[in-house]
Amino acid sequence: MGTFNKVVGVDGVRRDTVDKLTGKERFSGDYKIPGALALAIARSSEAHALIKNIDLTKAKALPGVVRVFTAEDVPGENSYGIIPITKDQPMLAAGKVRFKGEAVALVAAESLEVAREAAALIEVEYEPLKASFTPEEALADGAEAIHDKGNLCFEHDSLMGDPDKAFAEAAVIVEDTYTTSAIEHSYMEPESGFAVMEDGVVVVTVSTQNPHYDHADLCRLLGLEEDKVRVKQATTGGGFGGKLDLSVHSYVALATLLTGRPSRLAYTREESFAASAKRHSFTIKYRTAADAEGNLLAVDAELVADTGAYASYGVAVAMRAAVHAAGPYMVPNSRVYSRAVYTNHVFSGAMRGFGVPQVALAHESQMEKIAAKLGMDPIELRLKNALKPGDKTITGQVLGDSVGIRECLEKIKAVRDEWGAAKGDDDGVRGIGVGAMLYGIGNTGVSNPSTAQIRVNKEGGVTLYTGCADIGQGSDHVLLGICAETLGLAREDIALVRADTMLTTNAGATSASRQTYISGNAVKAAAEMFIAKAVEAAAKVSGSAASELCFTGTAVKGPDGELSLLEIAESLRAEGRELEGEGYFDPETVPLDHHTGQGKPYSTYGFAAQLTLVHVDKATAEVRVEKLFAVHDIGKAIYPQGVIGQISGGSAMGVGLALMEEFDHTSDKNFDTYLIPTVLDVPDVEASFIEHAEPTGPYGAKGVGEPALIPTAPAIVNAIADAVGVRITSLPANLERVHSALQLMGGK
Amino acid sequence: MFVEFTLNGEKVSAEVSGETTALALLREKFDLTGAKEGCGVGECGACTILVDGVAVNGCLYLAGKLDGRNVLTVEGVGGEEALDPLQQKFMEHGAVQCGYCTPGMLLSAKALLLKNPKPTVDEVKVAISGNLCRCTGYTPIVKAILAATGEGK
Amino acid sequence: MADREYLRPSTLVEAVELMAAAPGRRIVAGGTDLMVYIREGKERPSALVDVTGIPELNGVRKLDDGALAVGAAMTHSMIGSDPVIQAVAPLLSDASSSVGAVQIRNLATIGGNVVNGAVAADTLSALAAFDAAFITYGAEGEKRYTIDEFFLSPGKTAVGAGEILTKIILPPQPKAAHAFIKVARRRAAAISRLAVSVMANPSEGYARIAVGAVLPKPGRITMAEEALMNGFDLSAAKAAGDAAKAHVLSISGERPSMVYKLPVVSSAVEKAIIKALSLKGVK
Repeated sequence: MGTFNKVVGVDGVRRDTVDKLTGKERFSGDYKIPGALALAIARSSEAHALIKNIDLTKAKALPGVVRVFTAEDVPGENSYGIIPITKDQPMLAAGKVRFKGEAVALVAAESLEVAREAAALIEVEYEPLKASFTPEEALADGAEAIHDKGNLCFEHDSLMGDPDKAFAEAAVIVEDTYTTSAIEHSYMEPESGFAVMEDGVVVVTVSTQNPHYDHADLCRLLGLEEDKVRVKQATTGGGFGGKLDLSVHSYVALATLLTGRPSRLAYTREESFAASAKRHSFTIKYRTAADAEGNLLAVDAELVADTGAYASYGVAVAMRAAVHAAGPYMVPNSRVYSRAVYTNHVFSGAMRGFGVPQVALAHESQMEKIAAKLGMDPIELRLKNALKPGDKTITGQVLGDSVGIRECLEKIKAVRDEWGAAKGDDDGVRGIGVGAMLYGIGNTGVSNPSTAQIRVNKEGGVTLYTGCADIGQGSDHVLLGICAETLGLAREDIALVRADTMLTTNAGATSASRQTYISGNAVKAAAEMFIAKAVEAAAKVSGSAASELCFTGTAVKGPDGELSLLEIAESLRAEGRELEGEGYFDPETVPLDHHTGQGKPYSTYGFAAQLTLVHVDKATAEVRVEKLFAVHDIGKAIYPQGVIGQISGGSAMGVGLALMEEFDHTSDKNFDTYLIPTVLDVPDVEASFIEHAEPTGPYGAKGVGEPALIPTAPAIVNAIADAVGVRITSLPANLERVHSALQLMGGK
Repeated sequence: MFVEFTLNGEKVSAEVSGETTALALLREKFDLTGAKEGCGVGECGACTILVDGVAVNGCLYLAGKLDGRNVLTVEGVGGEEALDPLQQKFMEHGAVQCGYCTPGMLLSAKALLLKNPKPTVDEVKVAISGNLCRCTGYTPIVKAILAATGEGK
Repeated sequence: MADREYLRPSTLVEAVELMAAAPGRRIVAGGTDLMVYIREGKERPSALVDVTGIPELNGVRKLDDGALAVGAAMTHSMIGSDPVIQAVAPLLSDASSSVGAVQIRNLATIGGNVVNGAVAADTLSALAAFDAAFITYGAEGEKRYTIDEFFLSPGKTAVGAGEILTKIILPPQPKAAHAFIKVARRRAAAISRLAVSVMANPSEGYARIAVGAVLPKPGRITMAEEALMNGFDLSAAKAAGDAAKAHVLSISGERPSMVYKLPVVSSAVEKAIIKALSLKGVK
């Protein structure tokens, strides 16, 4: 294949765009499903209690109610969860509730009004248990055990070098405690889906980030064989990690399986807030040691995450946070102890960054404190310590070639010089802040492969089959781009079958910024195999040597003319074979050692740095982010506009994390009190990227989805500190916290 | 009550009860599902429709109020063959990701341009400040709207 | 679900009759609050009586004494862009323009903002600065309330069942500079943490200061006004801020939410005065 890029790096137009702009695109809630039962869930009023009795009499008696389900009706194992070692969540509470809002019973009725009314008539008798709402309470002596195994969900240790010795010899030691809040994903489309029976198969169409995982856990819950459940991803209105867990899936599947009728369920926003995963709140105790020249010597960090009532992705978050605890810097000695702790909050799960945005607040604040102590420029300090190819991370991984953090920092430095000194005005003060990060692409230290197939279709063109769920970020366009580039076609030439467990094979979750890199590689491999197979078959048919033949995308050309893909497919079929390319890619990782945390958690990393200019109003403590410059090392942009879109959107989410988002488990029910940034709260994001090609990436690509968010909040907090002179260590930096910082400054 | 109104240029009528919202009526009776429910309490703007050229939250707007009025939903803005300049620019600027906020966002922009064909950046931002988007960070959307006015690019 | 009726009277008399005809009926204008209450199950009206089509509730009129009569069914968008209000009461235009976001302003009415009596309602500090009066119509005919009579306590007004707020009267004021400041957790569609309304004219010795979201009912802060009138300069602005803070403290006390709000009442009032009077060079 040629090395010229005809598709990769060219934007084109995503195939979902026009329908989304004209209102034609159907999300799962937009389908008409004749005869569908409406479902409603009765949810726990208690945070932690034993269920003594559930009285369904009144609910069942309501005209229009078809059936009411409780845990006893779950035909399979009533426990699910993404991580095999922590499948601890029931779809309907069995004997015990562990958070307020947990599903206790499910009503199926002829109308939504009746279903909801019936759900409200279900009477549950509880015996309240002592509830824990912080990890500290949950781990204290005398705390009520939330799960049989106790309240420590997971712990992870990491040790490298001799941190004690390094601290003893350090010229500078800085330490602090950082805290972050629970965050609601706030995808614009609340959870939604429907189920129908088709030839004895429960077919679930649902808004999801992970159809193949959904399929596996649905089979487990329903006690069905693999071929009796089919999951089709509906057009999905955002996910950000929150649609990795099961939500409506199990309820529509159960109702349809047990009644034989179609059923549908869409969470209200209130229900989504009450019952979907949140970002883990963290408490981070962090010490850093450096020598007099500013070389980092050691990091000692203790991380505690509130994982809520169920594990969900708690293990992954605690582990990834630990792995990333030192940031994009070379630190020869380190000790990190990370825990995920059960509490009686709604469960915490995956959310864009998996704990890394939380630790980034800590490591980036520490860098500023060291720079201040040594009188160094904070960007110079970062440059001095920035990882290079061949450096070791704190898990002992020797980095490969694609390490663009230095270039990111150099760019940031140039932009800072352009901006000049931050000057205040009559209303307030200004400051400039930097945030930097690294982010491992894919799951942490475990196999997480993707697969893909390319086949000739009836029209003689090619169809790409991928299990990868496009949740709005544009992975379809990326994968089509890679496929087209490899086959020498345009994206428009390729048909796509995506995220349907009956038609596609597992591509793994749309999470961990992994789809471009991992599924991209699988697609590329499938395309390469497709070409090889077509050429090989054509050689056989034509009698030419394979080296004389050339794959054109639609045919194989040789000295004696060309054979169309259909002709080639036919010749293969005569041998009982298919013209099909199959691709598989699993990033090379080494599991982390249980005692030392050493290993190779990821095969490649994304890097980034962001710079912000903030204005702090002296009278009201309102913070306005006036400028935001972002530069990300993404390896290679397959779809540049998509990369920019991810950075811009991630940065806006970072503004929310930094300044306003704080999920209050008792009072936040909807967007009237839980505030995410509006257009007036985010600056025009100046997003850019650099391309340090990753040799193992498809056309050099890595990933950007989560990196987009990670540096933003640290950059804003550092800018506030620059403006005000006082460092805020708890997120969000809301009116009250900034005001007290201003008062401290005023006291000087 | 019985309401008659103009919907995307066509005369329509419907029998509505007291608390029916315009959003429910459009989605359920007319199968116009472009307007979405994102929060149901008028905070996210995914249900935005234009009534007599003015943007309102379909989830709060009583269907009874539609009587005699002129309603525009995203389905009436422009179809695949004849995209409105706003739709065209949204496409070019990558202003659509998951697409759930898109219809509401377009209609808020449409209402602005109907009233003010040459808005400033600040006017554009105020016009869409009742439309939450979690994917794009708004920057591509603002650029697209400005481009549709012939400003910026 | 009961099919609740939706009724659209075209006269005040008809509206009052409809309200009296059956129990549990509820007046609705924009519906931006009511529809949320219904969704949350806090309200279950037997019928909705939509008063927005009644002529008396619409439009802005200048009265013989120079006062402005603002129709209760005017939306915040209308108030924000009405040329007469912009000319005579720009403070109210600004306050209305700070409510919610565009879609809400296009639907929500000033009457609704007032009648719901929420402490954080954005227009209340502006109306207090004007010493607004409120005209209602009910079975006993027309009634006029002063602002003090109208607002009883948080969420409670003097408007009785079946009584309809028709107009808000803004008594004539001298020509004055003004400023409206709203402090919230974000820049659109957010409930105010604090609002400040200031009108001032040094040459006439005129000052009006009111704050929102920190007092149980709206009203002017005369102590702050007096402090400002003592010079209309930077130090008077500071003194006015301190006086406003002292007033809020005396009424609302030291609650946890006040740790932020109290000092900011002082600095935001000072800032609003500086902004209104363009007093340069903040300390």
